[in-house]
Amino acid sequence: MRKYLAVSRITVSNILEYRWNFLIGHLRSIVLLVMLYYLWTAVFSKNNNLFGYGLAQMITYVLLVTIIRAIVLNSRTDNISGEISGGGKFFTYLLQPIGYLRYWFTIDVVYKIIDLAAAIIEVTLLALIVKATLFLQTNPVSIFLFLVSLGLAILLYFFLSALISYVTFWTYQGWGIRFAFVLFLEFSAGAFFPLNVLPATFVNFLKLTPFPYLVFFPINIYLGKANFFDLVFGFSMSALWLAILFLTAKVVWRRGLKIYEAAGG
Amino acid sequence: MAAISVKNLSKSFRLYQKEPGLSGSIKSLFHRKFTETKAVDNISFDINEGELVGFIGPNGAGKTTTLKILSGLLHPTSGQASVLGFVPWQRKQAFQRQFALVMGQKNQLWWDLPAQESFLLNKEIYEISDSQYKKTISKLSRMLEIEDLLKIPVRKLSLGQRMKAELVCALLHSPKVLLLDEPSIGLDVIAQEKMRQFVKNYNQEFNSTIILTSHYMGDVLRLCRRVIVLNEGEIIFDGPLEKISAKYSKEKLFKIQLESQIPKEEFEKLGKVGQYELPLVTITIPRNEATEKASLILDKFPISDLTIEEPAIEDIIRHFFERKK
Amino acid sequence: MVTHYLKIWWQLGVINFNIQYVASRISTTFLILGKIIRFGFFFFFLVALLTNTKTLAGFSLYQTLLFFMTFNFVDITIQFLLRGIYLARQLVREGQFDSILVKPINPLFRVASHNIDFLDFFTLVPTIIILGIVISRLETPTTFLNLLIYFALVLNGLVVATAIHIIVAAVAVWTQEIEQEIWIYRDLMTMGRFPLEIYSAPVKTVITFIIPVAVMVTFPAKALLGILSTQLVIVSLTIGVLLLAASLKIWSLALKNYTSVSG
Repeated sequence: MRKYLAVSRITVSNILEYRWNFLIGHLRSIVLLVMLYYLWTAVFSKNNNLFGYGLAQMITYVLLVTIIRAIVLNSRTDNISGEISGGGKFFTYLLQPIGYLRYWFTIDVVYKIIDLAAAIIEVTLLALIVKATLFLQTNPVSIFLFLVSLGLAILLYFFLSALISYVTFWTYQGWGIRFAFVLFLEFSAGAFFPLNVLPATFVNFLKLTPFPYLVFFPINIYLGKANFFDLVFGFSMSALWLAILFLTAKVVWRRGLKIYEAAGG
Repeated sequence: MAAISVKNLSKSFRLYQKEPGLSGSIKSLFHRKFTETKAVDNISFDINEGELVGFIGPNGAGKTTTLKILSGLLHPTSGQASVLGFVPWQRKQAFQRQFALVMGQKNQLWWDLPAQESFLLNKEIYEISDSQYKKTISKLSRMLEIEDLLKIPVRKLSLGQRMKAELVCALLHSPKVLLLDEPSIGLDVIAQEKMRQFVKNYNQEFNSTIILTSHYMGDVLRLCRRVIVLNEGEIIFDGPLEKISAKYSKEKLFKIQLESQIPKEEFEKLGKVGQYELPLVTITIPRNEATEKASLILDKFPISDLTIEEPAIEDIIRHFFERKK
Repeated sequence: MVTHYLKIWWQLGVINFNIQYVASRISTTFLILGKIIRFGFFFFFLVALLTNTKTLAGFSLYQTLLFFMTFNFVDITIQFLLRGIYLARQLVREGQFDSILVKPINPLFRVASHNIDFLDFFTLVPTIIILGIVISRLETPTTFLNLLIYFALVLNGLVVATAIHIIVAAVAVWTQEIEQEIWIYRDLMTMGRFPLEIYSAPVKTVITFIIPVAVMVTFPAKALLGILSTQLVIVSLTIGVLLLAASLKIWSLALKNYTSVSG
C-alpha cells in the first residue's frame, strides 16, 4: 500500500511542477465545452427535439461528456510507449514487487481525481453563468447503473490505451497510430456528439466495438434513454470487451517483452 | 583597415532570480530580482587579415560571448565592433556571406541524412554556384580526407568524422573570417592533431582571418602566433605567445646535468625540485633569485651542463589565473 | 530573391521528406488518416445536423459548410507554411537557432520552414476542392465582387494567423521559456469550425479581439455571402496590417534581446 501512496505523492508534485501544462490542457476541455454548449443551444432554438434528445437532455449530455472525458478518456498509459522506446525504465518496475500496469493505474487515479475536480468546477461555472436547464436523474437505480457503467468505461479505456502503447514494442512510430486511433475512438464513443447523429447501420456496427461504452452508453443510462434490452446488451458487451482487452493486454505484453529483450533492450 | 576591430566592447547579462514555491512565483510577477554579470568588460583589439589568433582563458572568461558578438548573434551592451567593415549585429546578408561560425559540439548537419544533403541546403542559402560548389567540396573533402563519407548518414559517423564534415559544411562558402569556438572539444588526440593541421593549412592557403577559442593549450601552441588572454571579461594579455612567459612567469626552470652524485636535499634547499633522475635534475627557482642562484650552483656543484628556460606555458597561464583570483 | 527563398524552401522540404521517408512512413500515414477521420466525422456531423434542422443560427447547410471549409483551409494552410514555429523553443534550446541566425537567410522564414511536410499539401488540395464545391452549391448566388472580397479576407486571415505565430516565435526566442501558449491559439481557433453567431456576446468578444478567429474565418465567409458590412471589411484589413506590423516589431526586439544558450 505504501508503494502506491509514494507513487501518488510523486504524481501530485509532478502536476504542481507543470501547472502551466495542466492549465492549458484544461483550456482545451473548456473550449470544447463552450463550443458544444452554444452549438446545441443554437440548434435547439429552432427545434424542440432532435435525434431523440430535448434541449435539457442535450445540454446535460454536453456537460456529462466534459466530466466523463476527465475520468474515462484520460490515461497516462500513453507514456508507456515513451518508456519502451526511450530506454526501458520499465525494467526496474518488473523487478519491483509492484505490477507495471498497477503502477500506471495508480498514477491515473491521481490524475483522474484532480481532473474530475477541475471538470466539475468548469461544468458548474458554465451552468451557473448561462443558467442552463439541465436534466437531473432521480431514479436511484439509474444512477447506480450509471456509476457501474462508468467504472467499466474507466477500465475499458485503460486497457485500450495501454494496448495502443504496446505497439511501440513493434515500431517506433506508434505515436502516429495512436493519434488516428484516439481520434476515431473519441468520435465513436460519442465524446463529440451523440451517436444517434450517425447513420443507423454504422451505429449498430459501432455497438459491437468497445467504444460506445466509454461515453455514450453511460450517458444514455443517466438520461434514462436506455431500455432493458439496451442495458442487458450494453453491460454484456462492456464485460465481454473488458475480458478480451485484459487477456489481450497480458498476451501482447509478454510477446512485446520477448521482442524487447531479443533486441537487447 | 583591420579585418576585425573591437573598441571598448562590453556585454552584461541579467540573470533573474526566483524564489522557490508558489509564493515565489507570485512575487516574481510583480518584482524580479536580478544579478548582472559582466561577461565582456571593455575589451579592445584589432586583428588583421590572414592572422590566426587564439582566445584563451578559463571558463566564463568571455571568449564565447565575444565570438557570439562578432558573429552578430548578440548585441553588445556598449562599445563598437567591426568585422570586414560591417557591424556584426546588424546582420546584413552581405556580411553573413563572408564569415563562418563553428561551435564545437553543436552541429548544423541533419542527423539522419548524409552530410551532402546538409551541404546542398547551405549551397542554396549562401547562393554558391554549381561549379564553385563542386570545386570547394572536392578540395575541402580531400584536405580532410572524408571524400567517401559524404553519402553516409551523419549519425553513423564517428565524432571525429562528424567534426570534419561540420567543417566542410561551414567552409562551403569560402568565408574570409572563420570563428572557431572550442573546435577540439571531445575529440581524441589524433583527431585534434588533424583538426589543427587543417586549420593551419586553411589559414595559409586561403589567407582567411581566424579566431580560435580553446582551453586546449595544444591548439594554441600549434596554431597561434598571437594570443589574447581573457579573464573575467577583461583582456589581460594581447601579444605574441612567447611574450606571455616573459611577462608573467615568476619562475625560471633550471635544467642541470651533474657530473657526480649529489643528494636531492641539496637542491631542495635552492628551490622546487621537479625531476631528480641522475644525472638530470630540474629545479624551479623564482625569477629574481635566478642569477644569484645560478652562480651558486655553478660554484658549488660539479655541473656538466646548465640551461635556464621559461616554464611550460600551461603552468604560466594556470599560475596566472590562480594569481588573479 | 523570390527564387532564392523558394529554392531554400524546396530543399528544406526535400530534407524533411527524406527524413520522414526513412524514419516515419507509418506514422505519417496514420497522421493523415487521423486528420481525415477528424475532418470526415465533423463534416458528416454538420450534414446530418443541418439535414435535420434546416438552419444553424440562420445559416443553411451549404452556408454552414462554407464556414467549416474556410476554417479548414486557413488552418491547414497555416500549418503547412508555419509548422516550424511550433519547434521554435526547441531550436533555441538546442543551439540550432544560433546556427540559423548566423546565416544570410531571414531567421523567421528559416524557423517556420524547418520541418515542412510536403504531405500537408495533399490534405490542402482536397480541402480546396471541397471548398470550391461548397461555394458553387451555395443557396444564394455569389457575386464576383463578393468572391474577390472573400479571397482578400482569407488572405488577410492568413496574415493575421502569421502575425500570431510570429509573436509566439518572438516569445520563444526572447524568454526561451514558453512553449505551450501556441496551443491557446489552436484551441480558440477550433471554435471557428461553426459560425460564430452561435456564441453569446462575451464569448464572441474573446474570439473577435483576443484571438481574432472572427477575422480569420467568419468575416471572409460572411463577405462571400454578402452579409459583411464594408466597415468590417476595412476593420479586418486594418487589424491584419497592424497585427503584422506589431508582430514584426516584437520579433526584432526579441532578436535584440536574444541571449543565446550558454556553453
